[in-house]
Amino acid sequence: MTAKQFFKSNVFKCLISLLCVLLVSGVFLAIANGFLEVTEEEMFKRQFNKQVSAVYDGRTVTPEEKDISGQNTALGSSTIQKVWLIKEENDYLVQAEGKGGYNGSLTIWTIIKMDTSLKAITGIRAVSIYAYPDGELVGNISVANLNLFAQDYKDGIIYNYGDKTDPSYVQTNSSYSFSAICNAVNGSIEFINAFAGGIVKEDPFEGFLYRDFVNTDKDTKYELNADGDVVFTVRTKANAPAGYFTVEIVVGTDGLIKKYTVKRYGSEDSHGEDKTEEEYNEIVDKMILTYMGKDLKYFTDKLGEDMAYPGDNSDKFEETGASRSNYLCMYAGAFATANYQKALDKLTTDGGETDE
Amino acid sequence: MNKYKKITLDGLIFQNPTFMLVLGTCPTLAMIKQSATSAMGMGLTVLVILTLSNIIISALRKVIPNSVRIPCYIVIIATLVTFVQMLLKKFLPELYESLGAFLALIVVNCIVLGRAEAFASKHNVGEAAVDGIANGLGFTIALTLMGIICEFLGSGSLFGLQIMKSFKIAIFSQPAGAFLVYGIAIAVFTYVIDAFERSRRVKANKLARENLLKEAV
Repeated sequence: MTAKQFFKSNVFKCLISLLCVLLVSGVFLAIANGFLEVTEEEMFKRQFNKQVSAVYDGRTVTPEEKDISGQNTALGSSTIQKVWLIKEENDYLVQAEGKGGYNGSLTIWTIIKMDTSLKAITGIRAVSIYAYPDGELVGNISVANLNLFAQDYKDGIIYNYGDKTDPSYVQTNSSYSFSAICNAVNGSIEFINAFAGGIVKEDPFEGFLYRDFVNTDKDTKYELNADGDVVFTVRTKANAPAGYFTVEIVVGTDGLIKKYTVKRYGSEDSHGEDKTEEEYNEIVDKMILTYMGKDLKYFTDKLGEDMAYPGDNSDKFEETGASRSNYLCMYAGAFATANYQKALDKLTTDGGETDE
Repeated sequence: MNKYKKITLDGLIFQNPTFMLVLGTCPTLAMIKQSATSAMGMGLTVLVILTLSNIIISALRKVIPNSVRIPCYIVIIATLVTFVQMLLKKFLPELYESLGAFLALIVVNCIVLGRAEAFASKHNVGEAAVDGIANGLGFTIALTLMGIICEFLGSGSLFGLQIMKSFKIAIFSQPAGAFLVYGIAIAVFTYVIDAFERSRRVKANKLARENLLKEAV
């Protein structure tokens, strides 16, 4: 085909038509975006008027943004983004990002009530959703669900409405989103306690390795026994269909695992369909015998230094018949052996048991 | 019958996209279980997009080559959906939030692409516009009716106004209840249309027989 023939052909006409449609659409949307873009300031004003003013029954309030640049804003499952003081009401408005949503993190506004000295939290006035990633089904979370947070403050309270294993679980059909909201609220409370009240929550796992592979927010703890060994109680994460495990790992003074006991099997929540719960548990019991007398190197050789889950189709995936459970138990073993010395130092400095 | 009247009646009743053609099931079930307001909002959004896409595609039907018509239609529909998203986010943020992920999914809604391909690409702008409005209205009315039923049975309210405080049948706020309502609505609608068609045929046959008798006499 010559160039002249090509320019007269149907192929060229098709290409040109498609390109023209794309170009016109692109230009149209670019112009439209220029006029219709919702700026950050506009979004804040709109959200503030809708969500915050409604809480104060139409009373005029003026938010005063506080400088939090020198503060610790990265709090495990949440990140504090902004804080405003609503002086007329003795409230703090905290904008926090809660991790663990279905498609990412949700940005939540929490209005925290303070006493007249602005040092102690007296309760939560309201919680609202400020922003969320596309695809997040926040339409399932009702006003009534968010109103569950609005209560007087109980010292040490941790909200777990989105956690199916927690007695306070609330059915919303958007458990991941609701968990992210809880994380944001919990983080907001923790931050204000430190920022306003000077109460810094001690992190018993500060500096610990492989924290991301176990659940240090719940049940995980460590203590010294009579023989001078460190006894770790570790709650693993879940790896569907395997639910979470709670295991007790005794690490001896030589840094090797002396004892490994499963207190709660992941199959209690759910398991694969090819075996019964008892069959899965039997496989897990056989697997954990192989961890006895092992140190961190055993687990890093199996899992790699980064401990990344290889995925079921990877060459590195170790098939055992209860493979996902095996990985969860290995993560717990790695956590215990890697942090034996740090735990021992903390226990001998602080004295006794340390837990979450 | 006047052609515009036929197009309108087809879109609203005889070829209703929800009850007769069973198109756009995904947003239907998602919105009717939420509330009547969300259902109506989705319907009106689809009406606007459907009408505009029909008009544009009909206007360009002689320009777009046949081999690339589908990609072109999709680009046009996606542009309109994005534009409507921007409008809703700016001026109607509550509707924008309630529609959620299903707003973007209008791009792949069978009704929009189906009418573009089956009607707009073969008729003039006026007829395509009427078709878009009629099908959009048919979709809106169907969703609103089912949304009213689900909201009333599921939470005892209508368009957010609490009518009966203690009356709630939880399943109607769930997908299963939405399916039930949808299925029953299709059955009732089809029955009514069939009955209407039957009576029309009987009347037509009776009239034809009378005319024959008159001629014979």
